[in-house]
Amino acid sequence: MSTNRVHTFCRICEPYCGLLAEVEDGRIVSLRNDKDHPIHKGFSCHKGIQYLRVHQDPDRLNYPLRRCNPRSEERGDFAQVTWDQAATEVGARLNDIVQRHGDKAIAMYTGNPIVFNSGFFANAEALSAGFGAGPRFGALTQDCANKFAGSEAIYGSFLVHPFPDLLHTDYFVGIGCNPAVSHMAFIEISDPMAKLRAIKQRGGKTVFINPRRIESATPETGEVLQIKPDTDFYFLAGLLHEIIFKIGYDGERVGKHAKNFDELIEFVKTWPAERAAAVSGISLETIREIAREFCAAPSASIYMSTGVNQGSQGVLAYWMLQMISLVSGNLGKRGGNLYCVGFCPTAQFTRRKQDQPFFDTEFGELRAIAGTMPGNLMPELLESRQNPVKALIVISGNPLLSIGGEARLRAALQGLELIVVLDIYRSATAELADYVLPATDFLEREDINTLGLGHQLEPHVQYTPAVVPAAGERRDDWWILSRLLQAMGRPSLLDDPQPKPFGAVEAMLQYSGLSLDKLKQLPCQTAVLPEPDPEELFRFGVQNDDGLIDCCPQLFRRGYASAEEHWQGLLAEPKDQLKLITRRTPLMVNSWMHNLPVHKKSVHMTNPLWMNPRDAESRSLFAGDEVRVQTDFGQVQADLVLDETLRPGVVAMSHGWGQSKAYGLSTARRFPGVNVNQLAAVGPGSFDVLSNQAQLTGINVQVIASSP
Amino acid sequence: MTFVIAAPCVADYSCVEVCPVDCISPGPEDPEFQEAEQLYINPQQCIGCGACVEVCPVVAIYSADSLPVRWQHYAEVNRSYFMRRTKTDDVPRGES
Repeated sequence: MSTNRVHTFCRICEPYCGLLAEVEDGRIVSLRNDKDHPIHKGFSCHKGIQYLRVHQDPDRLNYPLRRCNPRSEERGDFAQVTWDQAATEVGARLNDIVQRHGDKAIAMYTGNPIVFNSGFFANAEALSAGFGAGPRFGALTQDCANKFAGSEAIYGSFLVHPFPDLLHTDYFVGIGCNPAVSHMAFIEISDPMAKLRAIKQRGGKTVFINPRRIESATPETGEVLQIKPDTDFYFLAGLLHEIIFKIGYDGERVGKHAKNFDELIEFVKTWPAERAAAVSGISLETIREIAREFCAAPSASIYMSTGVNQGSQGVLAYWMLQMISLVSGNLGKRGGNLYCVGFCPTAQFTRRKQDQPFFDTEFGELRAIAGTMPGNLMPELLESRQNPVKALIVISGNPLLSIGGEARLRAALQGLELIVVLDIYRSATAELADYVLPATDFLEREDINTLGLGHQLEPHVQYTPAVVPAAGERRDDWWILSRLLQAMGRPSLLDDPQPKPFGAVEAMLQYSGLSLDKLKQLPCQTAVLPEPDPEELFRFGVQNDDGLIDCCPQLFRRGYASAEEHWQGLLAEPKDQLKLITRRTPLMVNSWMHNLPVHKKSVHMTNPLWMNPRDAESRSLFAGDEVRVQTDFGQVQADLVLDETLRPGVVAMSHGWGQSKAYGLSTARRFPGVNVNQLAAVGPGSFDVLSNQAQLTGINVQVIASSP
Repeated sequence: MTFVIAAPCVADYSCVEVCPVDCISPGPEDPEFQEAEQLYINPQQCIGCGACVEVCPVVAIYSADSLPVRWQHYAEVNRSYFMRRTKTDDVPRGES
């Protein structure tokens, strides 16, 4: 029997870790970390390796399905149809809807996995535009829209996110992140924990800021300052205040690369470190010490992630972070925060089109962020009287669980005429669909690592073929959408007798003198590119017309009052107010991998409520108690697990659970857990107006023992 | 960074099942499993993902740099278990 070894890579998160598949008789028999990979050198986490179980999962979708029972019944009764049947029927129904209700009647939702799918992603704009001008939604507004809004206003492109140069930095501050578990969003980095250990080994220092003593904080990396949830903006503003008013800033660098610095000073003046100390749980002395150390280090870098993004002040926090890097002289400097062109400078393609993005709607002034409307308004926008939506196409997403207010959204979805879901699984959302169309998984499709462009610590580009042909009648997402467009009589990639989904990727590769064919000839199909020149940020990143970084975008003024209000609210809170944070465990990724039996062990058979033992004691609660967690917006039942890594006053739960109605997922449904997003505020006024970002962490909750 | 199994281990094999690179021994299929007092992590193969830590019912697994002081020597205990095994035994399951 011949064994074929295929070098490929993981597409669960940004690092794109190298994987090695062994294929026998057209079947993958093993999937391992790829020790030959020139960048990852054998590092990958268990999630990528265990993706083989996703590939082999008997619950996977193999054929197009059409619903036979009314959508009012929560369990779908689906029958297998051919691709031609599915496409023809969906195409005709979409055309009918557009004819009756106009060009804005088809909405779309894209989930997170699609961004790791270059065949789709490189054509995303055209594929989306093909379905008209209806509202677009996505997981974006649930976990990182603040970064897009922040960078668009500051740098002029929503895809410029200067990342910490962990290979050279002498001082690293990581806020609301946990690299040991989640690696690092918005950075394409191999083995992040090794990079953090190396900082200490070369005499540098790492400080984590997190309400929880995270797995990433070890004696070989650095300590955690246990901040109170959703106070990161004040902490960052306090640091910036110290640097500008006490320590002194790099005026030359600011003058050369930035504008509106005086306005920034005016703003920062209102947020001294004393105000941060009053609400953040981090002492004034400590804030000052970090500011001093940051500025005294030969180089210093700073990073924030989902724990801050999902709070209430994510845009302003990201702004402060960029300004700390700039005024301390670390932006665009070796060891500071960098931009990296990689194989193609893409920031120019996402240049801000208008300074004032807001427009009037029946729900007040709104904006789109990277084309995406607020998830928290999804039910309202679907039911809009001005622009009623009648059909929804969901692409590798699970809005029912990812967006808050599950019951409200379920009702809005049930009011639609047509729901089409493209997925690898019959997810909780797919259960509501009229048509469920089977997509390929990452072992069944060719790809390159496009998402990291701009944010690669170790620039490289890798091609992977499909490791094995698609099972059943699974198809690539680009093909499925193109097939639907074709059935509607609209232009699509399939108009070409030899469709070229990678045409856009080929054009990007040309910038570096590469091509897919050239990549295929290289070891691991990988081209290693030179390390980024720190000045690339100013040459290729900044997209404002004058080439200057905007230190104080006008747009942010809309957020000033909310920052003040939130601060006053924190001061006025009772001392024993519990705050809920969301926590990703090593055994889950959003709602991606809930159907793997191997992960349903120990405490991970459900999503418990983690609580500090002190808080449990003062409430006469005990480990194993069933508790009710409630907010003004919803409630869930959970088992109590004591966790002394949490700051007292902080409780934590994992999201992505609540699978009891995912009838097509046998394991997930056996271990359903609860949907923690039901506790979040939804509807008008519940999201950050600057970015459409939902608040999913730092939520005030009550925890009560459930009556027996 | 590797992980280490320390004294509390009760040879429950949740960790063996969840380990993506089969670096925990002996597994339930191995002859010595019946007699095993504890399981061991092969530091040469561990990728440091920490999945085993999450599923251990008795909190016996620690990252090598965070071992409680009283169990510091377990890093060596784990390593030497694999040194003792013959060369052929050392071939990880699934790659033979």
